[in-house]
Amino acid sequence: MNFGEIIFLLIIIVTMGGALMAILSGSIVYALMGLVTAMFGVAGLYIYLDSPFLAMMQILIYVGAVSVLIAFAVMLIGPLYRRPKEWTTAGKFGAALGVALVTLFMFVRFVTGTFPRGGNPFFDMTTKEIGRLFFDNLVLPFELISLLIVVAILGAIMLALFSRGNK
Amino acid sequence: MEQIVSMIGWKTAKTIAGLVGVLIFVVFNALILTWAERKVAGHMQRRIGPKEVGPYGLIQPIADALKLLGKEILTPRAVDRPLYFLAPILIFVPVLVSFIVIPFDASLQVKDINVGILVILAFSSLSVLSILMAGWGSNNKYALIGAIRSVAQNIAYEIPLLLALLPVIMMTNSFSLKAIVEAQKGLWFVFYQPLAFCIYFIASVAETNRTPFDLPEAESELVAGYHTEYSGMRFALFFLAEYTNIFIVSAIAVTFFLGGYQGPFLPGIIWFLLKSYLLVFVIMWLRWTFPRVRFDQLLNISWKALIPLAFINLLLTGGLLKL
Amino acid sequence: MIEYVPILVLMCFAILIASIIVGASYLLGPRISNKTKLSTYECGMQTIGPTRMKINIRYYIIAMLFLIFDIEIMFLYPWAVVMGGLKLFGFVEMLIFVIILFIGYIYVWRKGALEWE
Repeated sequence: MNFGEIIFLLIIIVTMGGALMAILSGSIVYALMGLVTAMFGVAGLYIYLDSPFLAMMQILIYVGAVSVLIAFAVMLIGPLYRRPKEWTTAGKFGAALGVALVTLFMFVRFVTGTFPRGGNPFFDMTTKEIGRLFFDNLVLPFELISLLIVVAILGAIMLALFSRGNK
Repeated sequence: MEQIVSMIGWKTAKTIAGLVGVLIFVVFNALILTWAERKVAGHMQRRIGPKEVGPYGLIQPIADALKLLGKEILTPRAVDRPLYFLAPILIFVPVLVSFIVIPFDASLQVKDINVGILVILAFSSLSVLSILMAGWGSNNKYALIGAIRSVAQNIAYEIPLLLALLPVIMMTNSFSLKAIVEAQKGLWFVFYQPLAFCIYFIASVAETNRTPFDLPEAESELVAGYHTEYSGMRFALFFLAEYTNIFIVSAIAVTFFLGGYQGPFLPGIIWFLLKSYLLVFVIMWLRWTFPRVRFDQLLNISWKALIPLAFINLLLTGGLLKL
Repeated sequence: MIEYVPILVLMCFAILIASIIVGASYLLGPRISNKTKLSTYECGMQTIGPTRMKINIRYYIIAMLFLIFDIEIMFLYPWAVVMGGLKLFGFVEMLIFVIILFIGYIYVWRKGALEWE
């Protein structure tokens, strides 16, 4: 096992640990912390695959923005919110089993060597290439993104207005 | 020593030296800034500030640190223990990581990562999380209100901050901080981008929760904000992170707009520190000049003034570069 | 990937050092506590009501708008970094992108979602 593989396993452990915490934790705040840890681990995976730009975006958007949104939503619901009762032990164990199977699958793929490793030319894409792609082949999807974002803004505003009770 | 260096390789040895250097610098910076803050405050109010311990009171911060070390570290009964314990420790992470990419001199940089500025921006968004953890974990009304205000303010001012850095990236076509400094060999970017500099500076003062944007810790209504329930060394960690953050935002401003380590006669690192601490001084100066803004004013400044201005500045820069 | 290892190392360093500082303080400081001392601080009074109150929905709206603008800016960053190699078309493309978003922004403003009362 070389240095890179040790780091890979570390990242996997952090990601899976976070995911497990998100699933199994009884308190919604801890579940959120688990989710954030998992997101952070995914950013580590992106770095492992030589996509630092994606990794930084992952941290900036998921850890920095989405988690804040979820945290505010939790505080909006109020302090006494606990996870619904339907989350039985069987359900939890099912989820844990699912995570374990995925981990095992990834581990087997990793050991047998078909898992994409760092330095793979397919993933070796710099930020500049991403930028160029936007202005060459992906012009229309790129412009559509802005429309999508505007629709998201409209949705957010609708929510705000309904909550105030006026139209 | 040479044996170790030859064993792990020259590059690794340099990186390790850099990491140790960063740690030492963070501690020294915090000590100097706590002293400077009190000295500046003193002189602004026609007092002399600390003077008893050491010459000009220079040993005062060390005495304070030792005193804090001996203080009881209190854990209130009602706190959510894991969150409460983790928050001050995690707030330390983004603060240290940012130093990896800051170029102190042409060759004095731990690692010149080619997405440099994104590393700083991404990791500084982590501090929002530990503030939330502190606020929620403390189980205290003041802490929670302070944390929520702090987070709302941080995210509201992050947008103009990100937008103000973009024109410089457009002009240099690089995320690497070193490349950005090297591009300012001729004229500093502050002369091309005065508006972007102003927007960045205002936003960064707000990001560090300093007066006039210190609503999260408005002592007259919120006691101390999100660190109300923290005592002893845990409080000191928040404090340390806060002061290091002030230096980091100043250092980024210097790197992006004020030519970084470039300057005549003196060595680069002196220029870099001189410029950075000048900006730190301005931030301290602001504290004793402006009253605190109201919360609606705070958000209006960001959403209704800084963001449109930053967008217009961005498009103007783009247009001028292409036409 | 190897150039990001210092970040990982420094993250571990940061956590370690912060823990050591707190741990040292645990060992060095006095530990005398009583019931009142460990109660939640509320200006010396008994705590009234739940300490974790519901927050104003405005905060949620700010977070939502922040998320949207954040994503938008993330698309501007790759654009800015290739700016030098692009023709005028690249600028026009981004102009259209930003103008569409600006319409959304003006809508938000006009609808009063940025007001805080």
